[in-house]
Amino acid sequence: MAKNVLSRRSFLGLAAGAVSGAVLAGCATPTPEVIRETIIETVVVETEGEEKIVEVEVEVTSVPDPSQEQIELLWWCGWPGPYMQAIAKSFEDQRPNIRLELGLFYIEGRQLLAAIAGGNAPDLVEDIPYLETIARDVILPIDDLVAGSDRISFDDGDIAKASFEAFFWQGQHYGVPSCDIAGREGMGFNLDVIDAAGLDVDNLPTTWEEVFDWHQQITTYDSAGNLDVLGMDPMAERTDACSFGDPWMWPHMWGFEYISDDLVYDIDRPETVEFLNVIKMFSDDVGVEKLDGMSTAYAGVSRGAFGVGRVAMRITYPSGPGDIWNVNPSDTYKFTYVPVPESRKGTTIQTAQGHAGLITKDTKYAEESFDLAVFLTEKEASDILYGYIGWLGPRKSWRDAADLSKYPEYVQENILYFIDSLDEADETWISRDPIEGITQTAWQDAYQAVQYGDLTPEEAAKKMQDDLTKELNQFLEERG
Amino acid sequence: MAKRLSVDRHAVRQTAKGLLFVSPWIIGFLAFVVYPMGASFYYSLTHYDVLRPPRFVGLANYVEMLTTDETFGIVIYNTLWFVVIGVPASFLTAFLLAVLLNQKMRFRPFFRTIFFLPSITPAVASVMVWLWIYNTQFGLINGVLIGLGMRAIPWLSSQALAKPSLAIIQCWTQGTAIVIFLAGLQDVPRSLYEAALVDGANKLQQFWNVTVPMVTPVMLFVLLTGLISTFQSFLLPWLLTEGGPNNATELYSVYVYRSAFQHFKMGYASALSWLLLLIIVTFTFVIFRTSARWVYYGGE
Repeated sequence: MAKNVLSRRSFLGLAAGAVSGAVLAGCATPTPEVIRETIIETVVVETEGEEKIVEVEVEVTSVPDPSQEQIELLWWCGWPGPYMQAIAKSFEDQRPNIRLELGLFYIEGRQLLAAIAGGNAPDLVEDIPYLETIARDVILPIDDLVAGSDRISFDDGDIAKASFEAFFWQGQHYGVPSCDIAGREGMGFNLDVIDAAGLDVDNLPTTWEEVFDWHQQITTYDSAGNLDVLGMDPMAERTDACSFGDPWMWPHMWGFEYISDDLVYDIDRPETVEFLNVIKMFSDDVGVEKLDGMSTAYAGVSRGAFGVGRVAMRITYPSGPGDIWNVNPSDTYKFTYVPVPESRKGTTIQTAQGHAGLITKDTKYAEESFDLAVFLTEKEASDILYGYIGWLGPRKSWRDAADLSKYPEYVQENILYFIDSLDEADETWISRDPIEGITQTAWQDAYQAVQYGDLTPEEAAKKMQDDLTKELNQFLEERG
Repeated sequence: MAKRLSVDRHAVRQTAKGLLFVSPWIIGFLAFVVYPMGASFYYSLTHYDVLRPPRFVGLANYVEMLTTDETFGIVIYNTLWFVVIGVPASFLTAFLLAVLLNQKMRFRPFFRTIFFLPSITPAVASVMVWLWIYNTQFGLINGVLIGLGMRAIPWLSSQALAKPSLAIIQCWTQGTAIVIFLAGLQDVPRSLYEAALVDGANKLQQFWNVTVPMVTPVMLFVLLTGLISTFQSFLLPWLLTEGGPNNATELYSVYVYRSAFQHFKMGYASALSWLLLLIIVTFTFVIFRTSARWVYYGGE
């Protein structure tokens, strides 16, 4: 009787045939696909006389135009909110031959490093260590693209020139200012907490000496000595994503730039000692552990303890007014210029910084990536961002025409402060530090060492100067 | 002659088949272990920021680490503190809990489960819970203290308390070690306890003279694995304190990460990693060499 047994040779032959067939099938030209996706759409709904923005899931289909090259752009959009999906959808609706693949958020550079090293860099990226990445020659300059565009200009004043200059490096521009771009710092005051302390909300402090005086009047403790309400922690933002360990703010308040345009550090100077002493003054008054504890206690809330009304004053960045109103609409806040030392009383300062769309050099679609970057500055994207989270778009023409009534008037004023201060401040600063990651660590080490008593302000200033100069020299030597 | 040739050809074919079957592992080992290790050793001899080609500098990274980098000294101190205090603490916690869970009691499976759960809880979720427990304003511990009119404890904002706070969390996640100890404890022959009882040994004497020696091989394993993983601790200090306050919890792996991805110094980070390997190998070697004095293998 014959046995029907599959021999090893037959099995191997069949397997080889199956694999070959699969490989051939994989090489076949793909037929155009119908793209189906579920996206979040914003809908304005009126409920009991109040307009609310509601998110609904919508399934949409689209068929790309077969005569146009179908392009897929990888966009690391920086923030994970549904607003970015809405912006992407709006962009794709107007450009049916382009599909956007939204990528990572809160990048902090490490994923970008891996992606560039692996040859899988995004086409357009935001919210990264901008200067460090630009200085390492992996970002495409945009001067030619802007020159050839009728939608954006460096000089027409619609986007503040300083916002472009913040991403200017060695003769070229690199970033299209887009989300959360404005003057970098604002001093926020919780007027309800200040009023409860018996202070005059119409006469806010403008120097660090005045701020410290208010801080001492506002700060209260319970019977066991635990911090109840805090006047101010000047370094409170250090725990957030954009740390106010930002090294540039303090030198600007004291009227100097810590790194020159020809890349020389200027940190070891009396002004540095002065502002380190100011930081130490607050720590010594409350106790650095209590200060740190209060700052981290509400870490999950926007602007922490300041956002929930436990801290009266805080320096923060442009998204602050909108974010805080979303968290705590019952308190009234005011944002204005950051304090300066008594010796510079009356001087208003601002730093040009924020976020921009950067095109990586690896991109195959520079024009399309630039198109997306410019789209982020325009009406549709700005409407979406303002509607969701209160970020003002970078264009003056949009702001002049936009309906900002989603937020109460005082919130609008606070948001507009960050924008207008770029042009109106007595001094507008821009820091360009190609090793800002190392600088940030050195700065953090320095002020904490001073707070905890490990170093004097003089020692800390000298250490920063020496360490950073050595690191920068190494960077420049390797750069050639 | 023909028979020998036939045997050789058969042996060759068998060997080839064996290699074919293990080839996926071999390829994976070469691609994901050997190559990266080799590459990282090469990068440790370079200045390399990933975005530009590496520049060979010889032993400059190692020299800098050992002579001029002040942060390195702080990092070594923090890590050794964490290992010297944290490893014995978590080891003892796991062992004593295993001894307790080995006793006859009601709901024993329930207790074994809840002590094991922390080790399988995702690290980020655990950290979120502990951030709340340690919170100085409304945390589980300080909320009670403040409610009783006492001073709150600055668990994570005090230089002195930050590392012990991490060590406590490490003790909490010893579920795997507990299970391994339990297996070792249950392997101790009952006849030894009976013999000890006959000789007049009380519970404590039985524990010290029977249980502990019989479990020493398991102890060696738990000690070594705990040591190796503690040296490489990253998630806890990074998520809880990011190395603060004032570098109090800047452990070795945190510093490696910061050098590589915040400072764009992949070459230096690679050198740090190789030195860490050397440190761990040294500790492991010392423990192995001394283990003959305190590890008892039942067959001996």
